[in-house]
Amino acid sequence: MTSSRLGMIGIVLLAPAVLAASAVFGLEGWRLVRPRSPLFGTPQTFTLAEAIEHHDVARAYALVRDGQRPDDLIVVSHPTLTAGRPHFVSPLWWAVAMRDEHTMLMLLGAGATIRHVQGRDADCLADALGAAAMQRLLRRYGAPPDGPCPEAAAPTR
Amino acid sequence: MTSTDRGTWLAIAALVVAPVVAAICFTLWNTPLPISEAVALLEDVSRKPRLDFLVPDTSYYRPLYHIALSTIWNADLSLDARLAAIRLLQIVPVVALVGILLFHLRPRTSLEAGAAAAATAVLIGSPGFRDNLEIPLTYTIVGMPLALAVWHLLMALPRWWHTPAVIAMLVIALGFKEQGLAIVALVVAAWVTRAPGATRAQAASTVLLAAGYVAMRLAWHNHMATFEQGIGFGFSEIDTQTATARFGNFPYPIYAYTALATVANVIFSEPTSGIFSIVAAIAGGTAEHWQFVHLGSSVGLTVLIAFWAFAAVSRARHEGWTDESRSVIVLVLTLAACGALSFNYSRDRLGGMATPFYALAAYYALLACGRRVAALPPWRLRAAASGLMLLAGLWHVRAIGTVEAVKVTAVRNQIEWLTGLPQRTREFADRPVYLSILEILRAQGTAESTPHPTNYPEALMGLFSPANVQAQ
Repeated sequence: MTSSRLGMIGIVLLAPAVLAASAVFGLEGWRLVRPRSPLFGTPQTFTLAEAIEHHDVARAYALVRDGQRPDDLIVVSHPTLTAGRPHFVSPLWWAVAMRDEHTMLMLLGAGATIRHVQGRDADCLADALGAAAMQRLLRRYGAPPDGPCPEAAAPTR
Repeated sequence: MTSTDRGTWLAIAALVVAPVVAAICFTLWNTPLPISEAVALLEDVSRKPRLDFLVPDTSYYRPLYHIALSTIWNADLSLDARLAAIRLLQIVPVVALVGILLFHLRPRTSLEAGAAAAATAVLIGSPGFRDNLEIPLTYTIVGMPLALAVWHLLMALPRWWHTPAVIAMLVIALGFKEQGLAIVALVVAAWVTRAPGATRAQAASTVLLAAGYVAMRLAWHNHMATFEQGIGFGFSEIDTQTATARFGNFPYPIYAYTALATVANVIFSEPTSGIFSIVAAIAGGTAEHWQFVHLGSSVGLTVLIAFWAFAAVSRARHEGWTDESRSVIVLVLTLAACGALSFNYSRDRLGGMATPFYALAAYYALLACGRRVAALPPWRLRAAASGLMLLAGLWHVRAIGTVEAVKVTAVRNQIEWLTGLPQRTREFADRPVYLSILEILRAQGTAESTPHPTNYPEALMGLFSPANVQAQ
């Protein structure tokens, strides 16, 4: 058995290690240089509507912590729910529309409320979307009003 | 072979594993302490005098862990310094474990360096390692490097301080979790195989110490629940009440199943917590790539280890024991110890003490296989070398999966803070110490700088770990 053959087997075993090391080194290095790259998280957002749309609960929390009130209406646009036109809705309604359970819970914890008027009826929207788990959480933590849901229509413009 | 060669290949092996280890440590350093368990643990160490943790009146007896946590948390330091110390309690054992493994293997050739790098990937990619990276639950992760250090001393020529050091490391590992008892298995394995650093007095003293520890635990806590936590059986989980009702009259068969489940998890990555989830996913046609990677790499390596172990023990019967053949015995005994210590519920983390020895066995098996492959005719050599490269490659993929898994844990911890804080505040309204710790830790829990898992392209997303898939 020649030492060159043993050396070759050694290189064969080392090759995937070098590849893995290079991949991790490259990725983590890139993470340090460009932490907001789409490879490492959600794109940078500036409004609560954008943060909810990108499921960035940490950013949404930071905006609320910095003064955005969780019940203030936000402007959103959705191809089916708002027919592609801008509408005013509550952040909670938008979180349900985006099926973002984490942001929904965060908003409820921050004091967001449900009202049975267009654009604020998050529980009715969860029902319409068939999001049973979200509806359960809204009933448990959101104390929705007893009255009927508003007529199905586009939210307040 | 010159001494320069030894240092060079050791350095190369260390260099190729360094990025993965550094990425894990960097992520742990930036991981927020979670609400679950962390806040309650800090509440405990805030309220109880340090020495009270020495009283073994609980099923979860970890006196040195609690004393260490109490010392850190109650120190007259800034919050940042205390949080850094808690994180270091997790990070230092990780670095020590990989460092001791490489130092123990000391590769002197490219083949040994390749096998050492692959063995390190086996260690990092194993469920027994991955499941012990949860901050601040620094229990078995402290015992793992201590066990490997004990094994290193037992394989070395005896010195006067080795026995006290072995006893001290056993006591520390035991103080962090009862899984430290696996160290007794190492000492016995070394003594039975006449290792250079092992003596009868050493084996007798560790066995006596272990017997005393078990007697103390049983004497103080003589009514043990039949099942401490929910158990997995077959393809589903059974909660403690159902398990007690179903198996409580004669629990020994299910204890044997649970113990074997922990052993099988170390060597086959299946079942997890006693549940055959990968088999179920494959049978149901819903398996992710990572499940094939985990099962395939573990089965492939364990088969290789089995062939090598048989040959190594056969050789030992004629030529005497060597470090290589002793590692078969230590793997078998530590697996048995981990199985026995997890008799009433199985979790990935409970196989942690056997994981370094599975990696050690992987090193010798890959080395032996590499030597055999090098002697094959050219076309068979190419095929066998490709197989070895694939096996090593799959384990390196698993090691990257561990990097991603710790990132997912970091995000989960953060989400727990963002979504669960008001609920916890209401739930624990009558516990002022708990609430004050919640308030103190809120900023670190909700910081935007928490590491996020990598958004790999669709084709790669399911390859590295279950955590990545779940995080989507």
